[in-house]
Amino acid sequence: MVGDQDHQAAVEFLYREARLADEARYAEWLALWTEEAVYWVPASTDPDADPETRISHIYDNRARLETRIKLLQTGHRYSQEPASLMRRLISNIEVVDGRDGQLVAGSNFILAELSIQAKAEMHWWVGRATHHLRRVEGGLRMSLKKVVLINAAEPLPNLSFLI
Amino acid sequence: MKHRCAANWKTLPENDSDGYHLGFVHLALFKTVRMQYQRVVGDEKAIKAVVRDWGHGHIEIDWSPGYQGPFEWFGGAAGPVVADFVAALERRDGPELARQRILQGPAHALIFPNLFLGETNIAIVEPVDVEECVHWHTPMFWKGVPEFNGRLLRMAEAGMGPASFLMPEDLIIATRNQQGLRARTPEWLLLSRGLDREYLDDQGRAVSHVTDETTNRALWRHYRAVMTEA
Repeated sequence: MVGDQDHQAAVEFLYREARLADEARYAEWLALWTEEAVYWVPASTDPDADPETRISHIYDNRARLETRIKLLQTGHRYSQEPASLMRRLISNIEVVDGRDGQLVAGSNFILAELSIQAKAEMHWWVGRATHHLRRVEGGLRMSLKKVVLINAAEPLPNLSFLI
Repeated sequence: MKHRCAANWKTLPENDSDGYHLGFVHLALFKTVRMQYQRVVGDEKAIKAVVRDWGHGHIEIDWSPGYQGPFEWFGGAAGPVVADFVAALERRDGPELARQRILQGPAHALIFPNLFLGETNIAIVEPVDVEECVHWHTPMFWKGVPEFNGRLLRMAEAGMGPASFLMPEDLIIATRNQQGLRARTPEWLLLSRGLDREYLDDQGRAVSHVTDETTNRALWRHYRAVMTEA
């Protein structure tokens, strides 16, 4: 575990990141990332699933992450047009020191998504997230976000919002 | 990977082999990145890709008439690994067939009723309920070239699946169409696009411009035939 100050900074980052994703504030959410980025949602709950040999729902580097955001900003990403209404709760937060002075934050989440693009359907997304957080001037930025859904290997509805 | 859709299963095989929807449904992607499908949103007369009716409900989009160089279907892959692969193909198949393979790429076709050959992916559609189905898919890995696996995975993730850049749009539009079907009137849908210009090739297959509904007609005609013995 890390000191209180680092722990508090990490928790505040997670809350802010969650709120920007929930509110579809795409540009502000993208600004939370470092230049190097790995945004990863495995299609498996196997903790050892290697993204180079196993398929993922999302395995974005920085370039693909920017494409993902640009799609949402065109106004023609019909699977998120209009954007789903979302709120997520974050809990069970554990922060430890990682490599290169980064903080590694683990957290559980429950995300309620009201998908309103065809008919109003409530979808529940539950899992554990891992954030790699780098200290930069003025605060923290994330270099990795990995989201392991408890139903990662089951049939999923559209996941084109920011999870 | 499995992608859930709140629409009747038949909408997805039709969608998988339809060239008309691309320019509208996938506009977000075409506005954002260059890719091979982009050629369907330009001047209609400049589009060379075709659709083809193989009979018995088997239908195809053939992009290859529009390809200008090798591996356009593979993100323009190049470099030493690709060169080794081409050399091995030439040794196995001879230069002519190897050239054809790397130019045309794998099929974009529906094997009736629910097996979709999605170029470098394979998919099936599983009916679950009247208004629910699951689109299953997997990337193909090619024997002898594990170096391509990473690229094939990234292409599959870009194109297919709930978080990809293509399929979420297809499935949400399918769901909206399903809602539309509840209207009940009118009792018909018009699928006449291209009737005036489709033609039979030398093997008796109907062929037409990629945005024509030749494939849609072929699918539904065969479905009606097998379901009614008509």
